[in-house]
Amino acid sequence: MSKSRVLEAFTAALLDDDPRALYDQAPCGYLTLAPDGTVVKTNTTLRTMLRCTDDLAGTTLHELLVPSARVLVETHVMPMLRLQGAVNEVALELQCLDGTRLPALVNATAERDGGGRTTLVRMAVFDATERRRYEQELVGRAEEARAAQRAAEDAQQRLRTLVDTLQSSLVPRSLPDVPGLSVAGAYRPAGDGDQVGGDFFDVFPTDGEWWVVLGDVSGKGVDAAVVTALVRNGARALATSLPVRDRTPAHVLTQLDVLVDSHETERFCTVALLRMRRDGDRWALSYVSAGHPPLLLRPPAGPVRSVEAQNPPLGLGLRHEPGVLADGGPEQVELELCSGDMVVLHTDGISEAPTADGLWGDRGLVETLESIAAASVPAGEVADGVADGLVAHAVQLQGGRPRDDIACLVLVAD
Amino acid sequence: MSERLHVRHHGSTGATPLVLVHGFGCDQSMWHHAVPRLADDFHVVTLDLVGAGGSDRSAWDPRRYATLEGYAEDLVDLLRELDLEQPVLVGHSVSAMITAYAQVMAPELVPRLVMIGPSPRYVDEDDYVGGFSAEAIEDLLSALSANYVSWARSMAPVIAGNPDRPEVHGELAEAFCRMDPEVAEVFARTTFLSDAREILPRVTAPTLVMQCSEDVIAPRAVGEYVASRIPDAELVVLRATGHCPQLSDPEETVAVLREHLTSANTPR
Repeated sequence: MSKSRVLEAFTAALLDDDPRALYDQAPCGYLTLAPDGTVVKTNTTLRTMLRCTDDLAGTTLHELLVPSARVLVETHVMPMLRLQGAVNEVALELQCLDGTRLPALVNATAERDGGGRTTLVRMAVFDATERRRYEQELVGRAEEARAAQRAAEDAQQRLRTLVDTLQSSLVPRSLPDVPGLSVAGAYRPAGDGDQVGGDFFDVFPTDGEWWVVLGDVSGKGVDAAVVTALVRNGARALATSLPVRDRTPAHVLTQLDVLVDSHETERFCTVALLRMRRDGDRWALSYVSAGHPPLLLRPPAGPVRSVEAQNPPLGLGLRHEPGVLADGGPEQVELELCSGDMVVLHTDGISEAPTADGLWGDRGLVETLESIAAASVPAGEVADGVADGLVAHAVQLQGGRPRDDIACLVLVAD
Repeated sequence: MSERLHVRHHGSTGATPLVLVHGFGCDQSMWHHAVPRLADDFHVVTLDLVGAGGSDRSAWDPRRYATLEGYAEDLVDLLRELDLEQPVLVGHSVSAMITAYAQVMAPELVPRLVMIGPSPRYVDEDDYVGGFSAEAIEDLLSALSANYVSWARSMAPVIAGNPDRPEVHGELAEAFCRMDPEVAEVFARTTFLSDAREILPRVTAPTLVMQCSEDVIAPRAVGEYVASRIPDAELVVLRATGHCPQLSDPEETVAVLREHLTSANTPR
């Protein structure tokens, strides 16, 4: 721009934009207050903002504010003005004369005399409607995000409660007292325990006999839990409702296989079933296994013997395959327990626990069992000691975060 | 506790101790203009409530400070620690009620009270007129969040020139009325939703109620209510207007305070 053009523009501005117009038509509202908050002077822009024609002189600042803004002004803005002479960008809501409210940003300065006394307060008021709307939107979004986060945490908590409830229906919280037998169980879900596991066990009586069930459904989660519940409750129902002559582990196993096969699932299940009868000071045991790790039997002086009763897992439909089952049905093994004899049932979460040099394996398990059982433990606490010790060892082998569920039942004849 | 509340001592330690407690929206700089006028005759103690000014921010706990009693416990602990001879506890605004709780909690530590602009209940309820509707208080909380950034900025150290005081140019300028924005929101809730009316009749110390002539936060009727409920109270209505007479008219505020304390020097 040439020098003459600048001069021309300056002269025009002097005429059209004299100090009075600059004040009245400024692109922000102006307000001058006496120290006690009485309005002394306002500009046209402010009056337009407040929807009023009156010059407002003689009213008080508070009359131009909504009640909440009065609190901010009295407790913060005025003290700041008296202490440091200025405040910037304070968000205040103005009370317009037509009843509406105007969100505003306010800068203020205080004029002070030589003694530091405030003589005058000047305020510049900016319409902040859009800005405030945008801020509220941001606040709203942030609140939504927090609410979503809380909802997710609640859902997680509910899920955990559900898992715990479901889990406790698959593994009893406490085992029954069996006269003449110490019974102990231990269970540890895989990983962090936030999924329903597939391992289960149960101990229950039927007319003078005791049944022990321990099994492992393939996979995890709700789908596996359904099959787990089916097998556990199915075993109970069958063992108590079959005619007495058919009430053998082999027969129950056959019927369980039918039950699981008829259930629409890809899951299969390994299970060990024991029926126990008190016979004088001994226990007569009938044992079947469907693809389950062998039962371990340890006489008081050792050594540990593993007992197989091999039949195919439940749910694979193998009983229909020729040659898989003997003509007499599943293989059932008869055992006798004398005082001090120990029986250990476990899932592959123990025997197949990974270690630094491969799997823990049956041999590692047997060695550990020997060392725990041989330790001098009060007779009544042997079963508990072995069950807890085996599970703790399997967990420890995997750095505290087992890859698979771990379940174990220990029976010691009195 | 002295450190936690950023306690400062002014004046001569042998004189009558005055413990000045600021209210919502500011910090101990609230007493900035009054302290020099009091320091000649009194041992003046100023402090920042937890969350305000230079207090220990890590001591702030939204549950503890959700009640006025939480703040009052801090005062009691401080008074016990300072072990002052016959101190006068001076509470401004909401801290008038905080000092009332402290007095009832530990009467032996608080033989005298002064309340400036007290209100035991800001919200109108039945026949009681506090001056604010419940909606106005909700509005206030959202107005505070609208000022979040400026509160947050107030907490940052300020290095700036002060046109009125060129001598501090370039130095760490004094920051006034600092309050952490998170604290401000909770403190506002605690302050403006509290109801301390039941504590007033239990105050056993002689109490001076200083009421401003025009105060939208604590109207005159509220000051009269406070003075009428405290068994041994005297009401003085100041010429000063607004809610902070110690800033708007420090001379009058200090004069009234001094006169009251010297005319009735022995607590009953």
